[in-house]
Amino acid sequence: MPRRLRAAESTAVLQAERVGIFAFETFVEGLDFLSSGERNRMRLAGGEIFDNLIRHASPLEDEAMTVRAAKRNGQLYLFFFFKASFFAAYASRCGDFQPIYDRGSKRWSGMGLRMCRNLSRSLRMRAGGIVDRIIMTF
Amino acid sequence: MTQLDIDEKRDGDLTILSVAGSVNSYTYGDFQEKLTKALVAGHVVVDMEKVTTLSSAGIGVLMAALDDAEAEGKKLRVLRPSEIVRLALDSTGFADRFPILKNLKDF
Repeated sequence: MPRRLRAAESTAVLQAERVGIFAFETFVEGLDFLSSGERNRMRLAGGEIFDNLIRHASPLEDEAMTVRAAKRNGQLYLFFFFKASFFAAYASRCGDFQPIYDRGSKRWSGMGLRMCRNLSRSLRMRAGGIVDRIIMTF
Repeated sequence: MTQLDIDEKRDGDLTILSVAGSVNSYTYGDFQEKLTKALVAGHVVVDMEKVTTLSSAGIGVLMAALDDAEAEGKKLRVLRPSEIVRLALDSTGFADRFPILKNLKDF
């Protein structure tokens, strides 16, 4: 019979403003159940999700979101819980969106999402219900 | 709060920008400003050994600067990228676009 691995998790409430990215980075830095590689992936991919929520799904109810990292049976999860006015519209655009470079503004659109997909095993967005949520596995 | 520190050194027409800390969605504007200014002056090496995060916004700044440098016949190189910087560049699928140096003397 396989040995059941102990679960570890940590939760934080983050300010839903651009400056909140530092609190997210500090949160990930403090997760003692991550390897260095896992920490780097979570920091990069989670940071992109945080930024996308602020830029594309705001305003968020209570101007906050809850982030939870968990390791269960060897599988690493990162959850974002929130309630956002424009999340359903944002999530519907994210299907197979490919990065586009705007030479005028010299900015990429969709690059963060591509990074998230390449850094994670799965990325799911669920709009509606009591809370909206994004679930990443690594 | 993790800050972004960018130290600038000149050696003839070469500017070396030593970047430390987090290049994220909040700080990338500072990175963009320093990099753009340095490119006006000549060639640029961006030392990323002490970078703790590189977001898509920061990567966009690097890619745009690379385009500008190529168009103007200047060189832009990334020096000693940290592990997380390499991971970030790899995750874009465009890692081979970024010219990387292990040592400054290779410039």
